[in-house]
Amino acid sequence: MAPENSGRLSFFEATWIVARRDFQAMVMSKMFLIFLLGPLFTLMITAMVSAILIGGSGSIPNVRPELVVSMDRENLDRIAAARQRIGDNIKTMPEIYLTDQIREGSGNHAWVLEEAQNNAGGVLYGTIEDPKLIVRPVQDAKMTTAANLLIAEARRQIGTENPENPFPNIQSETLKSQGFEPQGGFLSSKLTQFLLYILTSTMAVMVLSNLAEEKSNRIVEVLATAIPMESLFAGKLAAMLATTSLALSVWATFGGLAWFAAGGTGEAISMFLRPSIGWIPFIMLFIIYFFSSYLFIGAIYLTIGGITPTARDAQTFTVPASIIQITACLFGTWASSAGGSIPWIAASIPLVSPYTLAGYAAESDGILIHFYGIGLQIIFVTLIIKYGSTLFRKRIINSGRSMRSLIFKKT
Amino acid sequence: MKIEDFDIIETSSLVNPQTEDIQIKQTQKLEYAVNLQNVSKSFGTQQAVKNLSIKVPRGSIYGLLGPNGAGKTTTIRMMLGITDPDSGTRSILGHENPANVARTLGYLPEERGLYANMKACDVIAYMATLRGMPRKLARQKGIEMLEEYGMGESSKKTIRQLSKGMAQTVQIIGTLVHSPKLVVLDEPFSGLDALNQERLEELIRNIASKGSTVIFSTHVIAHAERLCEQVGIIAKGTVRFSGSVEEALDLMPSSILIETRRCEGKWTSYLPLNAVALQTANGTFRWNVPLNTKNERHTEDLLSALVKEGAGVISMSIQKATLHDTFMHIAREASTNKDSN
Repeated sequence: MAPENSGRLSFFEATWIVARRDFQAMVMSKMFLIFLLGPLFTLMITAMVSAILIGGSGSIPNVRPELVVSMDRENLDRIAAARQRIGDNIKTMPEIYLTDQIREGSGNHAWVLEEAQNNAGGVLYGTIEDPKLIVRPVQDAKMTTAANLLIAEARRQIGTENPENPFPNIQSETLKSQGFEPQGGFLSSKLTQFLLYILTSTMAVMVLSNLAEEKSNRIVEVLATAIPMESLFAGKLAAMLATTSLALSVWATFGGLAWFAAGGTGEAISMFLRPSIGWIPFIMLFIIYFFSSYLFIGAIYLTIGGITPTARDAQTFTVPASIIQITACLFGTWASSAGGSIPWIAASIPLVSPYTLAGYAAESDGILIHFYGIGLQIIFVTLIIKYGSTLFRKRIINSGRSMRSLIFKKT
Repeated sequence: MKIEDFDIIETSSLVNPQTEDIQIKQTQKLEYAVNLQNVSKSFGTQQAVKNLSIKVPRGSIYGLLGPNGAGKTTTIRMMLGITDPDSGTRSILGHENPANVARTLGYLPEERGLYANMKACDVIAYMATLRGMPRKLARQKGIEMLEEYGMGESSKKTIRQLSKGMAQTVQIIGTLVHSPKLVVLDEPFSGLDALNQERLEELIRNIASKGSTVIFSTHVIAHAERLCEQVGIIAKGTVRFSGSVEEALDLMPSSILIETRRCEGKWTSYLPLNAVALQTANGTFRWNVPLNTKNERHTEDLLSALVKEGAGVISMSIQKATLHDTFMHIAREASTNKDSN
């Protein structure tokens, strides 16, 4: 007969039990509800700030994509007349921007679309008889339809349309992604970095307050006699990760439902958010960088909570940690757009790396840097969890010791 | 070396069916649930425990007594492996490392607290699952134990909704639900009212009657006197006494309490030099004279003189020393040593 196992639970068993309790406790708490409503507050504040800014300028900035028509004056007049005749009958018609001032440049007017400071979704150039069109990838259908309608109406007016086939069927050229996408990519990048920062910092504070509760009520002493302390550390990290994943799922579901219920479309989202690397790889990378960033900062906060004698001391210690985190986020935000070797350098720095690469995925389509960054992040996270949990185990019970001894004593 | 310094070794013989050789397998039969030998622990420059040795017989109720700051909690923490001793040896249920018997331990820390937002039955189940008990079974047994202690209706209430005494009972049940072989309770009576203290005493007796060893620390000696078979008195980080309650009582002499009408006379010469009378409200005098067991003649002479010399004896009784007297004596002695140091 096998002897009865009277030893501790294994690391994984104990981690699972701790994680399950913490997850249930967090999800059932009022704090989680506040956390879920967090983005709503952010949206409200954003809306309020926007209203103030718009109120100050007296106009709503035009963010609808435009079809730029670049022809000579005579053709432009006919296009303008055609647009007027079409009127508001067709709701999906984009704004038309007429100009005869655009230089040829490379010849295909692609540079107009590559400019960061305009809303151009396509450029119609050449003549009414021989029109040419170049469009952004996501605006392809919309701009092509609009251009065909305008040319057909203009030709009908001057009597040059083909009676058998009045629709001109202009062959459009789609702009190739060239590493740096203006507007959509940039906006996606900054929003991603902001979201990453908010999520990781909130989660880390929640995991710390959870630990502070256990330290203050001495449950941690009972746990220390029952399970390996590394399990407590890992269990808490895992529980918070699961909590965040749940929150993200809730946000994504309700956000998506609200968006589509309000008549929004996927195309409309891509007007503002357009990760250069593509949505699926971008989402996958975001999840990886969120995990990495959270595990790194969460391990730091848990270690602080484990080694400091009181919750107040823990709060004091988290101030520099928060400052470092903000600095890392700001540096990552800058580095992801800086170009050259800077993103590579930033990807080599712990904590900065996830912010940089999450932003970079939105702004650039390079993939090699992600392999490099993820590889290093695995090493960073492994080291911080290993070192943090060791320190946590050694120090969590020794409450009441001076801060000086905590800082300077060899571990 | 004496035989009691060692755990008893039991030998049994087995026959290997392949070789038919007789193998001798030695099995350690555990006499002591806890055996600490010369353990020491320092925190920085402060020595919390110094060369402390304790043996707790298996199945006994052992009281760890000592004034505040004596080193009781540090001793308990070393016992349970929360901290490791700097030196000395430790054997818990026959294992050097308490982690190897973690599932058979139950521990109630001195400063108590629970997850305020968890239901009582869930807290108990959680504590039991940490000791390897299946969750469903733990929950069921927790509810049964709560019902047993008249708290059946509270099982679905959160800890926040319970009174302090009830919450403490929940924690005690959480400590015991997995039927541990060794139960360590650090100051279990603090914070409980008289009724709950009595119930806890009953609970401790129950646990021991089922074969578990119970160690509890306290500075309220009455509990130890009522419950314990063995006690260890700690002061200033060292064991000042370890043994049975009877042995502890023998450390202090019994005394004769005499109440007299007069406080002067030849008979007073039979009193010890430091004997002092306390005058009562009735104007009588109360003497507390240590019983000299080594010289019985002296006691006889005193009693004879009291009668012959007309001391006016109103009452006389023999008062046995209590564990409290022993404890106070040891604590004072330790305190005096500290002062002299």
